[in-house]
Amino acid sequence: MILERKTLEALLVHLLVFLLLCEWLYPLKRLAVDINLPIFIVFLILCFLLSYFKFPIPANLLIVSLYIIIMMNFYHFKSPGPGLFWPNEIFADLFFNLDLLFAQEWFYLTNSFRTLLLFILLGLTVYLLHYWVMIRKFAFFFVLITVTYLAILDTFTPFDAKFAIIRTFLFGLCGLGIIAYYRLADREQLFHVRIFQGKGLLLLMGVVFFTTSLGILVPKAGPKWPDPVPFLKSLNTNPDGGERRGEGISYIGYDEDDSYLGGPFLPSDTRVFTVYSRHSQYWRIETKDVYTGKGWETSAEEHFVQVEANEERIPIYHVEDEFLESELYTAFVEVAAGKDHVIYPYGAEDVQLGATPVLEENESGTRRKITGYLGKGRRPYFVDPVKEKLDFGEDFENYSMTYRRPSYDISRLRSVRDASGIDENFLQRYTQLPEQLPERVRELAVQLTADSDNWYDRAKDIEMYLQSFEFTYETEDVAIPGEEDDYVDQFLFETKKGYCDNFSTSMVVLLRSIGIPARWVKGYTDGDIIDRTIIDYQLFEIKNNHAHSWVEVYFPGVGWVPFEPTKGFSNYVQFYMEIETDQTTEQDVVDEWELPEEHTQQDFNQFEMDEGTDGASGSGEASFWNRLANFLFVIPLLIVAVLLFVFRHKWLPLFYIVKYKNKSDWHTFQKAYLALVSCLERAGLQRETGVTLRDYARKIDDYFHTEEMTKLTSLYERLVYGNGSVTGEVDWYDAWERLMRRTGRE
Amino acid sequence: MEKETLYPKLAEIVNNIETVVVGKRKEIILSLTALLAGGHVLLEDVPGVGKTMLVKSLAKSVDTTFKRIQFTPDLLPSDVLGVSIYNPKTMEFEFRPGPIMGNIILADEINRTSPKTQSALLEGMDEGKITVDGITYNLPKPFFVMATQNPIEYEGTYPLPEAQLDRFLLKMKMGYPSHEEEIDILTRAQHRPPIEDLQPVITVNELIVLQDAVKNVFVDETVKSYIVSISERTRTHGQVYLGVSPRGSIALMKAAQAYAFIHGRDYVVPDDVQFLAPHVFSHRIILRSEAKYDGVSPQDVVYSIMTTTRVPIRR
Repeated sequence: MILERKTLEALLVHLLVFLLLCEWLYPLKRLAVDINLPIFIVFLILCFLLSYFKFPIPANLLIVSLYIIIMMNFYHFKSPGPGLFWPNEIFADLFFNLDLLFAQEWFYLTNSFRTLLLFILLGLTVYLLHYWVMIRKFAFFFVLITVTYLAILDTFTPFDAKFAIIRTFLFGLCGLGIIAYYRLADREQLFHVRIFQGKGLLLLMGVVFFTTSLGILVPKAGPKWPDPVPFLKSLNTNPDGGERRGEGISYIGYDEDDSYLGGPFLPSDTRVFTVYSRHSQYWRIETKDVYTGKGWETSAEEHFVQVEANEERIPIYHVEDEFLESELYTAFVEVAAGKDHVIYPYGAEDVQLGATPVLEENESGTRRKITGYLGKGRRPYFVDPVKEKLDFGEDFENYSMTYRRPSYDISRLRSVRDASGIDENFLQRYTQLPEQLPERVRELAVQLTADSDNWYDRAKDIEMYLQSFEFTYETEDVAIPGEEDDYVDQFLFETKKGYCDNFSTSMVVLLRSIGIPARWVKGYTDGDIIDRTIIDYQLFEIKNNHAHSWVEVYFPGVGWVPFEPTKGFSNYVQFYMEIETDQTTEQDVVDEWELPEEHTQQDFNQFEMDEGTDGASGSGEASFWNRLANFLFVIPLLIVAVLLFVFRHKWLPLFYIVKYKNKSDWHTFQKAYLALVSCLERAGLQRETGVTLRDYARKIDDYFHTEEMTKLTSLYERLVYGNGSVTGEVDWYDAWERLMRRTGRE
Repeated sequence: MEKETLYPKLAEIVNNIETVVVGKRKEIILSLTALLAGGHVLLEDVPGVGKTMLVKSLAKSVDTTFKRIQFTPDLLPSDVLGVSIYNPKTMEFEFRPGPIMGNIILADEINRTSPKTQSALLEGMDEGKITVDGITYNLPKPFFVMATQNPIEYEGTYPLPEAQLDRFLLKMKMGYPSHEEEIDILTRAQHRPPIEDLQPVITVNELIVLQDAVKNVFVDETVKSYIVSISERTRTHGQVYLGVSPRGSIALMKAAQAYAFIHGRDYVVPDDVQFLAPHVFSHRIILRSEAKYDGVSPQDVVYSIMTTTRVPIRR
C-alpha cells in the first residue's frame, strides 16, 4: 500500500527503477548509435514523475505527447517559423515511415521515426514497470534482464559494462529489498509499516553494502572459456592467416612493441599495402634479436643511418651473392594512409621513393601491362642496421623496390655443421637466451635434432616438429604467459596452441638452445591477389591480417635463410639441390608453392567445426535473418494484442459503455448486466461459484461504497428468476455506467 | 436479506411477535415460512430459550386455536388424538377430540414419548386427518405443528426416525440471545408477561388465502435446477450416508416459495434457496459415522455443497 501512494519510499523505488532503465540507454551512446541521450533521460524522468504523481492517463498521454512533439521538432525538424506545436512535417514523416513499415523496408526508416519509436518504447516500458514494480511488487525479472542485457553488450560489443554491472547490482538490490519488504508487509496485512522506521532500512543497506563490496573485492577466477566473440567470428569468417601483437585482445596488425607476446587477437581486414609484384613473397620490416622470456626486444636502440642514393645495394639483409638470382625484378608498393613502415622483399637491391607504375591496356582492354614507372629518382634513405629496418625520413605513399630472389643450395646449407668461421660477437648476439629459460626447452631441441648432423637438417627437424599435429593454429584461445612462465616453454609444453609469434619464437629459441644462430623476423605474408590481369605482374593486397613473423637462420658462407615454422604458412623461399644419383628423394627445386590454408593442416576437430559453421554462416544464415526480419513486423502487433488482452479490464468497460449507450430495454439490460459482472471480475472482484448475485452485489457495493449494484441486481433478478413478465422500459443505464466506469479505474 | 421489505400483512405478524420475542426475527420468519408453506417445524434447542413463547405468540397473532401437548413417556395416542367416551344419556359413544384438534400445536419434547404416540401425531401432520375408532376426522385448517426436542438429554428418549423427521418441513434452533437482548428480556419480565396483551393481526381465513397465494409463487427452471443440484450432491457427498430424497427437494422448493412470498416477491431467487437449504435439508441427511466423529454437522455439509454449486445467473 505504501508503494502505491505518493510516499518517499515510492519515490525512492521510482528513482531506482529509473536508474536501472538508464542503464539500458547508456550503452546506446557507446555503441556509436547517433543518439541524443539527454532528451531520452529527461523523457524517462518525466514519465516516472507522471507515474509517481499518478496523473490520470489522458493528462499523462497529453504531456508525454507534447514532450515528444517538441523534442522531435527541435532535433529532427529544425525548420524555424510557424507550427511549433503542429508541425506538418512530423505527420508527413510519420505517414512516410508507416508506409515503409507496411512495406517492411526497415532500413529506410528515418531517424526521426526511430526516435519516435524509441520514445514510445520507453513510455510503454515505464508504464509496464510501474505495474510490475509498484502494483505487483515484482522486479526481479527486470533486474535480471538488465544484467543479462549488459552482459551481452559487454561480450559482443566494445561496450565495457564493468561499472554498469556494479551499478545495476547496487540499484537492483536496493530496489528489490524495498519491494520485498512491502510485499511481505502486504501479505501480513501490515499496511502502515514503513521501511524508514525501525531496522528494515539499516538491514537492507547492510546487506547491499556487504554483498556489493564482497562482489568487488573477492578475487575472481579468470574466464573458463575463451572470449566467445572472436571464437564466433572465427566460425563465421575464414581466418586468413593474420597475426597480432600486444596484450589482451587486440586487433591484428603490425606493431612495433613485441616485449610481451601472447593472448588472443581479433582479425582485421584493413588494407595496409597494395603491391605490384611478379612473385608471391614475404615482405620484411624488421628483425629482433633479444629474447626476454616474454617477448622480443632489440640489443641496441633504434638508430638510423643514412644511405646515399648511389649505394649499390641496401645494406640490410646479408646473403652471399652466389645465392641470389641474377635477374633483377621490380615491385611497386603503394602504402595505405597512416602507415609509416617500409616493407621490402628478400634480396632487395634498391629502393626508389615515389615510384608509381605506368599501366597500359592492350587493344581488347582485357589485359594491362606495366610499361614503366614514374618516380622522383633515387634519393638517400635510412637504414637501422641492428633491426634491419628501412625508413625514408619523410611521409611516403609509393615506392618501388628492385630485388634479386635468393635461391639456396641445400647441399651447401647441409655442409654447415658448426659455428666455425662466425664472429664470436655475432654468434653470441644471435644465440642469446634468457637465463631463466627452462632446461626442458633445450632438452627438447636436442631430442628433436638428435638424428641430424648439420644445421639445415636440424632447423628442418624443428620446423617440421612445430608444423606437426602436436600443435594447433589458434588465434582466440591463446594464453598470455604469467609472471613465472616462459612464453616459449608455455607454448611448447603446456598450451600447444598459438599463432605465428608462438611458432616463430619457439623455433628461434629451440635453435639458439642448440647453438645455431637465429633471429626473429617480422613483416607481412604475400597477401591476397586482387588483380591477375596485368601481364607478368600480380596485384597483391596486404591487409592487417597478413602481418606475420618468422625465422631466419644464419649459415656461415651462405647468409641468412628464412624458415617458416607456423602451421599452415609457406614462405616461398627457393631451395635447390644439385641432383646426385643416390639422393632421388629430394627434388631439384624444393619450391613450397602451397597457399596458406590453415584448414588443411589444422587439427581435425577444428576443421570439422569450421566446416559446420561455415555452412550455417553462409546464405542459410542470411535467409534466416531475412525471414526473422519478416516476422519483426508481427512483433509489434503481437505486443499490442498482448497488451490489449492483459489490460482489457481497462478498456472493455469503455467499450461496453459506448455499446449500450442510450439503451433502456430489458434485453439489453440483461447483456449489459452480465458484461458488468465479467468486467468486475476482470478488475479483480471475483464472484465465487456458490455466491449468489445478491451477495455479490453487496460485496461490490461495500467495495465501491454505493448501492447501485444491489439495485441493478434486484432488477436483474426479476428478469432472470421472475416469470418473464417484464416489459416496457427500465432505467438502468446511469447506475450501470457509473459502476462500469469504476471497474475501468480498478 | 434484512433490507428487503416484507409482504405487508406478514410484516405485521412479524412485528407483533417481536413485541414478545426478542431478537429472533430470523426464527420468526422461518416459522412463518413453514406456516405459509403448509409444513411443520422441528425446534431443537435447550429449554428456556423461548420456544414456547415463539409458538404461543405466533398462534395469538393469527387468531387461531392454540394447543399444547407436553409429551411424556406414558402419554398414549388417545391422549393426543382424542377418545370416544360412552354417554349414558344418549346411549352412544361420543368423540372427545384431543389436543391435536387445533390450528397451531406445540408438541413439546416430542422425543420423550413412545414411538406409538409419536406416530399418532406424525400421521396427523402428514395427512391432515386422524382416524379414531374407524371414523376419520379432518383436522382444522390451517394445521401447523411446532415440535420441540432437547438435544442435550438423551436418556429415556425415543429419537425420531428419519422417515418421521421427513414430515417436518424445516428444522431450526433458537439459540441464546445476545447480551443486550437478554437485558431487554429481563426488563420485559419485570412487568406483566406481554404475551397476555398480544392481539391477533390476521384471521384464519386470511391466512388460508395467503397459503394459496404462496403456491403461485414462480420458480424458474434454473432455480429448480439449482435446488435439484444441491439435493443430488448431498446424495454423492463423501461424508453423507443417506442424502436428501426428492421429497426433500419438494420441501425446499415449497419453503423457498413461501420465503419469497414473505419478502414480497412472486418469484424465487437462489438466495432464498441458499438461506433455507440448511434448515430444510439438515434433518434429512444421515452422516457417516466417521464424519460424526470428526464433528461435522449436516449443516456444515449443506454449506460446503452450496459454496461449490454453481449459482445460475442467466436463463
